[in-house]
Amino acid sequence: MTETGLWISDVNHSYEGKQVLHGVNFNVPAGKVVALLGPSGCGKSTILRAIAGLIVPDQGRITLDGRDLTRVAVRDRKLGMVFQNFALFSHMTVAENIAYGLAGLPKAERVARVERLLDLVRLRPFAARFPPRLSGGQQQRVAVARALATDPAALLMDEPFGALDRALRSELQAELVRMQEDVGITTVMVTHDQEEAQAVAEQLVVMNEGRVEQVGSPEEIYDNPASLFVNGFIGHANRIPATVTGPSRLKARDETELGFNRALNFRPGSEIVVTCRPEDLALSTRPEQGAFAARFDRAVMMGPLLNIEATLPEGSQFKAQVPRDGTARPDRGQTIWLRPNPARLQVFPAPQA
Amino acid sequence: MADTALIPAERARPDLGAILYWGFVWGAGILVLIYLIGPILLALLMSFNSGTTLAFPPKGLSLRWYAALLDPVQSEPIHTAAKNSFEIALCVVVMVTLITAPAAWALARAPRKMVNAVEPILLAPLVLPSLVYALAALLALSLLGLGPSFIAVLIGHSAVFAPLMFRTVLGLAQRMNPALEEASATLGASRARTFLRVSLPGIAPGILAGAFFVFMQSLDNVSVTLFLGEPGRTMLPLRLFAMLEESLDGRVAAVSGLLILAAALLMFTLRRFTGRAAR
Ligand SMILES: Nc1ncnc2c1ncn2[C@@H]1O[C@H](COP(=O)(O)OP(=O)(O)O)[C@@H](O)[C@H]1O
Ligand SMILES: [Mg+2]
Repeated sequence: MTETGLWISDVNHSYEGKQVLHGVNFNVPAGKVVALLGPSGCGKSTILRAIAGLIVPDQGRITLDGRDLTRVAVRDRKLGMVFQNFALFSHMTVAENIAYGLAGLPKAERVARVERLLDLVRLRPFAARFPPRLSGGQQQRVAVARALATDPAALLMDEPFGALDRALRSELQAELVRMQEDVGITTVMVTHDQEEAQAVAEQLVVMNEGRVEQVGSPEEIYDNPASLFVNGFIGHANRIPATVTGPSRLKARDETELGFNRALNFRPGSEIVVTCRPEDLALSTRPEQGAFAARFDRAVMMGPLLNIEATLPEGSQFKAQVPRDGTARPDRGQTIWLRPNPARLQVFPAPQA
Repeated sequence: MADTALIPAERARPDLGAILYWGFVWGAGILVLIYLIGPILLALLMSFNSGTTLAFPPKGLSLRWYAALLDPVQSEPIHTAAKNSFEIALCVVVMVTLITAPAAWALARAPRKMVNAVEPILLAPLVLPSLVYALAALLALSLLGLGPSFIAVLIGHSAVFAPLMFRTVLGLAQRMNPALEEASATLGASRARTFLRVSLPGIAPGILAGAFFVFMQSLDNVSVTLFLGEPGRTMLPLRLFAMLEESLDGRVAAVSGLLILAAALLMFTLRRFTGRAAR
């Protein structure tokens, strides 16, 4: 059976006896973009290097469109890679950089190919420049063009926007999406920036400490996080330690009781953590059933919304995002009540101390 | 708040400590510069002397010593000695480059522990007096039943001066971004192509700088040449020394003049080249 796309199966890897990848599994459908997302040091680059062939993983299999790559040498894998700081050859012009992988082609074909790529990344006027004399964004586009020049079976990118300033990123992300759709190449992008991952990829693979925590679309991951880690890493999550008191009831540390419209998968008495997104909290200046009393700290307006920061009696910080509907803002230090929408609460087992 | 900016700041009164400090820094600096450059200027001036011997101050200015130096009949021994020296120096540079550049490049990729263990051994000839090495090499040669020869000098110079290039290349190779070679590999290049097109240009400035040092040191060396060379084959430094012993020949100054000029030109082109490579 041949499966199209890129398949990473049960990959383990250790550096100097320290295991950094634990049974990594995911796949990239042919022609799609998947973002590998996770905090710094969680093993994203290591996985990418294993796919590229720059390291041989201790265990596991990597296949691309049915071809087993695990034992194939780097230069025979025919994959395009964009390195973290682009790794452009500074003693070669932009055109020479792009032509580097085309040594086997006849000259006329090579020139035509380089020109097509220069057009694709809109760098034709800079063909004769040397990379150090280009802006960060231009360097990134040279790196992408160089990787795509050999017509690779897949494109691997390690934090391709990491070296660029914020303002430039969203522009280049849109550009990359456009280009990827033009070329339709199977792509893996590594990033530690969730907004970037959501802007570019249809599928996210969220990693933590060498493990894949969740695979899914940005919506799935945001709305149904598989773990407390994913919940807090993708978007903000207010955490409420609590105890299960009934099939669909629980009690927080501050004695606030919450009822659910669904059964909890926890036995009564279990220690759990309930999480709540800032936008799923309603604000009130009077006590309410199922609302947490908190001290109002400050509010920052953001367009039609108000970002509120408050502190619970036991000291934990709460963030809420409510519509700016013209009602008077609470004063600093005043007690407010924040009521979560029970349908949107997430419940996880309490982390082992 | 803005008003305070309009009040002129009180002039800092120069104190005795500062005067002594700067006086010392400038005084010592200028003395060192004179010490370094003075003799060279002196030799240059003397080479243009119109008098019959090496003397300072020059009686008048002329190019007579340069003319005498270039005269093929009168200066035949010097020409032979210079040719021998340049021949050796060039061969040494080639040999050192072929051995040292790949070694330094490879060592830059080795585990840190290995580098720390090997580096002092490779750099040992730098700190060891070359006289010690020359004597040891001579003893080793005779133990092998071999006599002094061109090859012996070549090997001797290469061993003693290789560290000069090793250091300049290792520095660059260690600072080179490893992703460059990885990028080359992902683009389908063989190891050889990666080395020639990516690694070599990266370490080229180090090779050039090293080659310059090695060439100059080889040209200048007396002890290794004296111990390992065939007695009949004179080298430039030995010849110059002999000339000075016979008489205060002005051609010696002319030779220094030419060497200073050559070194300055080489250094100038080297700086331009490495400056461009580092762009
Ligand atoms: N060459 C290496 N030798 C030893 N440890 C390494 C090496 N490369 C990475 N590591 C370690 O492996 C872990 C994962 O690294 P990496 O894949 O680069 O993380 P990420 O790209 O997610 O930031 C980190 O703890 C890092 O310190
Ligand atoms: Mg990384």
